Amino acid sequence: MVNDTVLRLIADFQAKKINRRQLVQGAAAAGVSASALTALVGPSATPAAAQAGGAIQLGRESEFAANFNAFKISTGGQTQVMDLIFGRLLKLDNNNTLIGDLAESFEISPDASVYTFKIREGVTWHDGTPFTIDDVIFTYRAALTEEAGAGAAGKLRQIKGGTAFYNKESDEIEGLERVDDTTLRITLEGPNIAFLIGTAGSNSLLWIQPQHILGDVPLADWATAEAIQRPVVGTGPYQFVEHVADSHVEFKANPNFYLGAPKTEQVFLRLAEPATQLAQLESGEIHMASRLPAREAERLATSDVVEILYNPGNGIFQTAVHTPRVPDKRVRQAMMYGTDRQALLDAVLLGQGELVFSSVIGPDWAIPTGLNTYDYNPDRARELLAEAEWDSEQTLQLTWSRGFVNVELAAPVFQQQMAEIGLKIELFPQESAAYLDAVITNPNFDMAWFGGGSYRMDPDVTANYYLCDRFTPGGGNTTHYCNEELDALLIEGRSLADPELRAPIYQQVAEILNEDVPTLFWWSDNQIFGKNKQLQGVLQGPNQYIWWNIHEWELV
Amino acid sequence: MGQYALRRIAISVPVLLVVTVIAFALVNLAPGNPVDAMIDPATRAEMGPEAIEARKAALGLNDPLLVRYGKWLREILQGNFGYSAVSGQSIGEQILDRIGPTLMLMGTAITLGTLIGIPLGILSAVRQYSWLDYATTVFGFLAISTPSFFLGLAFMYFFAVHLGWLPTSGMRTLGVEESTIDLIKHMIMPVTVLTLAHTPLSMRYARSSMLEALRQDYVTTARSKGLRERIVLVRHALRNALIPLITVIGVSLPELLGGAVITETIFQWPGMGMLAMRAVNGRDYPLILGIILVTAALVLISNLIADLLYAVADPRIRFR
Repeated sequence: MVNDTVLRLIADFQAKKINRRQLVQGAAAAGVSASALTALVGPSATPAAAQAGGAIQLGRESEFAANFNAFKISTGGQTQVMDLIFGRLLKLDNNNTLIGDLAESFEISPDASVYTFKIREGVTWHDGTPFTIDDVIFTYRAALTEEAGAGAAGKLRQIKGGTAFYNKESDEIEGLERVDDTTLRITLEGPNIAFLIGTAGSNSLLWIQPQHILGDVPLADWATAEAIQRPVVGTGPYQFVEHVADSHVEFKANPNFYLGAPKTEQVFLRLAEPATQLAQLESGEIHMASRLPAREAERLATSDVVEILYNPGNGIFQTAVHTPRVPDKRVRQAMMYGTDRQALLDAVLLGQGELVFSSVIGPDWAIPTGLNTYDYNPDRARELLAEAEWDSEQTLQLTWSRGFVNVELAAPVFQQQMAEIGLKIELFPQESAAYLDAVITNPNFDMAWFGGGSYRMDPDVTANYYLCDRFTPGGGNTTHYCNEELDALLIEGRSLADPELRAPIYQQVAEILNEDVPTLFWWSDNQIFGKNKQLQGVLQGPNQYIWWNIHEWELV
Repeated sequence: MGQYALRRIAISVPVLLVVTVIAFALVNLAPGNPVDAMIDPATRAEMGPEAIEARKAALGLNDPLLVRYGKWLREILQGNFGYSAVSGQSIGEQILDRIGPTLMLMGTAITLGTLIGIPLGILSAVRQYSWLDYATTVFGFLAISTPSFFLGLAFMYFFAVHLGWLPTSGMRTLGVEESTIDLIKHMIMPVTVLTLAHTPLSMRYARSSMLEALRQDYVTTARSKGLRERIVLVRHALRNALIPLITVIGVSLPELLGGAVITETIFQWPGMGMLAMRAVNGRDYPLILGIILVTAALVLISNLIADLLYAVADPRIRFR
């Protein structure tokens, strides 16, 4: 068994404060054998594969904070670290399909309220301790405890008895059931397919934590606990070695990974500014960079070293209209007709994206057909404005978070095209915190331009942005658009498990949004990755967590 | 002398206190907070408001400003800088971790800049209006007016990507044993950028203060006594010209530990500058305040040292 004392010794050893002999003696005093230690810190000699050139180096923007608390992960960088070290019950493959991870398989009841997981057998933690269903139950119970401050708590409270447990009215969570040693059944208060999906950081699929390490640490102390600052015991393909703030995180292969030892012995996640990353990619110092600007990608495509991957994105580039300020849908439709969106897409992203006509854009079974594509038609736009008796003297203010390059390129063109149809737009970029305040915390804006979201993962993601009871600041409905018919459809759509039954519902959802355009839908931008040609095993698809199969990546 | 030093130190304490009040107010009045900065809007929409409020409450962000200042000051007085609102790491430790790399980078750059700048400045003063004077002046203005982010990226493209001679960034090559040669290779570009920014500063100061010294009566006297020009320059003019340079070096000292935000960020040098950048971007109040406090203390200490050295070099100051 490994405890905090031993973890601290390992930290000292890796920071070169003590030598190997002191480490082994100290650990023996704490009851940990030398062989268990080797599993944790690796053999004394550096393995051959760890020599120069053998390690995969991945670039990351400096959006990174040293917070490895599984319940409080909020950035892409943290998610990547956690995904390498820990497992979840399920994960997404490159096509955004849920596949087994620490659960070997799963079943969903037809009304999407009961989820049965078959826990994988034979998995061990990085320190050799067997992984069991108890670790899963421990993690879910901890996340549902108020002191943990878990981002997923809101979602987990849908579990039957979850709210009572959260409010300390009960010691048990009725809907979290251990059927036998390998079967976990989760029952929700009501049907909701959204329980399983959503953005990876805050959904119900938590990174499963080791009970034998964290079980004794009070939840309020997790932030400063050694095992959170240095998460050396996980179940993932890679083991945590060290984190050097503002520099890198080092990982080494977990030889006992349940899908077989990873093909590459060592991985570094390096932090650098986007401009620096481009240089590193070109010089071969990193093997992958994400979120490349389209123009840079085009330039790099001619390089001998770099290969560019264009993957469909999950987000939507869109302009939310605060509907109480622009209640007439004809005005919003006029804005759609009045903009040459394909030309804008070509200019801003060199065509690297696809036009969208509602927020229902995937997965494949949910893609709607026959929507109005609002082809560029300034005459129609003028007609609609005339019908709506729009006052051409009225000015609408368009805000965005300063520094969002794509908006900065697109907004002046939009402003120009709106002027041509007789609609005055004032551009009002704001510093990110001020923007967040004006758009979400204390809504006071006419139009707001933003991107992102995980719409392609499941059509239910749309519900977060348009349900009547999800108005900002409480929810994600920035437009304050409310349509009872749409609400009913969205609720029905999430209470069914079968895609075939859900598809027609979301067709109707898409039609309503396409007609009412509370949000001007522009496009879904491609995710552009730059990859060193030596790096093999990367699979393309819309999953932004492209490292989901990192155990198969290698340099050849 | 002792009394003078004591008086200067006594003045520094209230100054530092005023700095904490202003810094605390400014940092907290700026829009945004660590919780909002941490969570991207898409995740936020799916998390729900309770989870966000709970996090704000846990960080004490809902207390009144004055209460927060009081709590913070009490901890600071006990030598506790607190924990980062974003990562939960101890701020004292984080700052200590960064001082080494920054000292290495800035120390080299400031030393080189001073060692190159002062002789060049003196030479160009002695040979005023010569081609050397014009050349150094042009170089000085070019170097000081080129933004460091541009120079940094240009170097990176030329020496790392195009020629492949140097690594782009970081402090060491990951995945190989640490070595001094590797470290030096990583230092070349950032040190050059910073040296280029620092050299003109000491050069221009050295030039003007040497010019002024050369115009003094005692130099004329020395010359009229028939002393050799070398002795006049070195013993009479240079000695006196160096006194104002104490100020220049004194002003550079805080930078030595405070780091260079832009250069460090571009070259991914894990020093104080990058820490500050990350703290501000993440609205990490305790960390920002910790850094401001340390930097303010450094400025005061450096000024103090400069003033004391001045007093040593120029006895007139002590009696004012």
